[in-house]
Amino acid sequence: MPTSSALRSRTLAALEWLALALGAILLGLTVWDVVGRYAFNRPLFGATEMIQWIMGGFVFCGLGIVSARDAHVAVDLISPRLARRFPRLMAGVIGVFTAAGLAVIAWQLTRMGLDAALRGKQSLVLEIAIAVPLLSYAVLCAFATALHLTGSDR
Amino acid sequence: MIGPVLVLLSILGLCLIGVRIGFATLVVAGAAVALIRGPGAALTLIGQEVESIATSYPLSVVPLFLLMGVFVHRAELSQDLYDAAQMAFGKLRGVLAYATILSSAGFSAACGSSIATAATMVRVALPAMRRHGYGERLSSGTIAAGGTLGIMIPPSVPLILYGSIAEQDIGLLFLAGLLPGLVLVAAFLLTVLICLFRTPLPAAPQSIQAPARAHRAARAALPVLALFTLVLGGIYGRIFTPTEAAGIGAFGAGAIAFARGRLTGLRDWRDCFSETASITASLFMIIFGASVFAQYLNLSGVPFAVVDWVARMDLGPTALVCAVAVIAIVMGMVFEAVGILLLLVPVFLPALIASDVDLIWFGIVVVLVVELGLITPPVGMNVFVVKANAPDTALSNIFLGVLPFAAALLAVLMIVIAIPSVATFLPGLMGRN
Repeated sequence: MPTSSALRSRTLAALEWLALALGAILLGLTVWDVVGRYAFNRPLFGATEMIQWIMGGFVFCGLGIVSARDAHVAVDLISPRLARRFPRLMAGVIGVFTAAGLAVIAWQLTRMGLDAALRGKQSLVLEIAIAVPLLSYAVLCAFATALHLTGSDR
Repeated sequence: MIGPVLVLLSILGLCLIGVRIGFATLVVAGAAVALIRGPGAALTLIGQEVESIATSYPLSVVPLFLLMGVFVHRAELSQDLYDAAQMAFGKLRGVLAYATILSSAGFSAACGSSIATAATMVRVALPAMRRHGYGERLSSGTIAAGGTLGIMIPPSVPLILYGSIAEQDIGLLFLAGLLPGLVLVAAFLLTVLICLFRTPLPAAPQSIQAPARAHRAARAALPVLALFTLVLGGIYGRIFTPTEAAGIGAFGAGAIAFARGRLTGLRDWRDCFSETASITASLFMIIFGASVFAQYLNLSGVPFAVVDWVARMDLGPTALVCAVAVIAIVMGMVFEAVGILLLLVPVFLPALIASDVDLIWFGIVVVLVVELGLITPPVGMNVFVVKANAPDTALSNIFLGVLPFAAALLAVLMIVIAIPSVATFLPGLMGRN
C-alpha cells in the first residue's frame, strides 16, 4: 500500500499530465478553429463552448498543482518574520484560510453539479450535460484541498 | 461605509500576515456577504462567481498568452535578444545597461508578464554586467525596471484583466499601451544615460563584435518580431479575436521552442503546460476572491457612494483619475498588479463612467501605476525577483538602483495623465470614437 507522501506525489504527477492534456486541447481547439475558418471555410462547431469548458478544467487542474506546491500569490512583507517566530501558528492560520476557500469552492461546485444533473441542464450549443464539467471541477478542487492539507508544512 | 472599510482592512491585515491574497479576499468578502444576505446566499454567490470566471471565454486569452510566455522563456531567446540589443548600441559606453532595457522591451513583446521578463533578463544580463564592472545599483536597477515593460508593451495580462473588468476592447487597450510603452523605453534609456554620467565604464565588450555571434543575434530577433507582428497584426487586422491571437501566438512560440531543440520530450511539454496551469490558477484564485469582493461592494452600495462623493467634490475627469492613481500607488506598495486592478477598478468604475473618463486612457494610467508598484518599496516584486537571483546584492542597493527608473516611470505617468492622446492616439487611428 502506498504511503501518503507517495500518493500525494502520484496525484500531483497525474495533475501535471492532465494539465498537458487539457492545455494541448485548449491550444489545439483555438488553432483548429482559426485554421478551419480561414483555410477551409469551416470553423469548428461549438469551439467557443468547448474552449470555455476545457479552460475551466485547466484552471481547476492548475489549482491542484499550485496548492500542492503552496505557490499561491502572497505578500511577503512581514510574514517571513512572523513565520520564523511563530512557525506552527502562522502555518495554521494561513492553511485554514486556503483550505476553507478551496473546500467551499469544491462544495459549491458539487452542489451546482448535482443540481444541474437533477434538472438535466444542457449547454446551449453542444447540448453537453452541464453536470459533467461542473462535477469534474468539483473533484479537481477537492484534490486541491487534499493536496494542500497534506502539504509538508501542515 | 464602516463595514466595507473594516472588510478591506481585514483583507489587508490577513495578506500582511501571509494569508494568500485570493483566499483572504474570498473568505473575508464571502463572510461579509453572509452578514448582509445570509450564509446560503453567500455560498451560492461564491459558487456562481467561481464557475462563471473559470469558464469565461474572454478570459481564455490569459492561459494562452501565459503559455506563449512560458514557451518563449523555454526557447531561451533572451540571450540572443540581449546580443541583438547590444549590437544595436554598438560600442557606446554602458552598452550592456542600454541593451538590458531594449532586450527587456523585446522580450515583453512576446511575453506579457513583468515578473517573467525580470526573471529571464536577470539570468542573462546580470552576469554580463558584473563581468564588465557595472555597479550593483545600476545593473540590478536596470533589470528590475526593464522587467516592468512586460506589462505595458502588448500583449499584457493586466491589460487583459482590466479590459474584462471595465468591458473594454482588449485589442484597443493593447494598441493604447504601445506608445506609452515606447515612451517608457525611451525614458529608461535616458535614465541609464544620466546614471552613466557618474559611473566610469568600459565600452562595448569585444565578444559581441564577433561576426558569427552578431549574425546569430540578428537572426534571433526575427522570431520575436514575427510573433509580435502575427499576434498584434492579427488582432488589429480583425483577423483574430484576442483569444485566437493568443492561441496562434502560443502555437508559434511552441514551434520556435521546438525548432530550437528546447522541447524534445513529452516531459518538456508537460513541464510547460503544468507551469502555465499553475500560474493561471494562482491568477484566477485572485480573480475569484476579487470578484466576490466586488459583489460585496455592490451589495453594500460602495460604488454609488463613491459616485456621490465625486459629484459632491466636483472632481473633473483628470482630478478623479489623479485621485485613483494616488490610491493605486499607495496600494501598489503592498499589493501586486492583479490585486490592485481587481480591488480598485470595480469600486471606481461607476464614478469614472459618470465623469466621462476615457476608460482606455484610464486603463493605461492604472497599468503604469501598477508598474510603479513593482519597483517601489516595501513590496516591489521585480526587485525581489532580482534579489532572488542575486542573493549577495543588498535589497537596499537594488531599491536605490531602481529609484531613478521609478522617477522616470512617474514622469511618464504624469505625461500620460497630462496628454491623454499619448495613449488614445493609436486607438483613434483605428477608427475608435
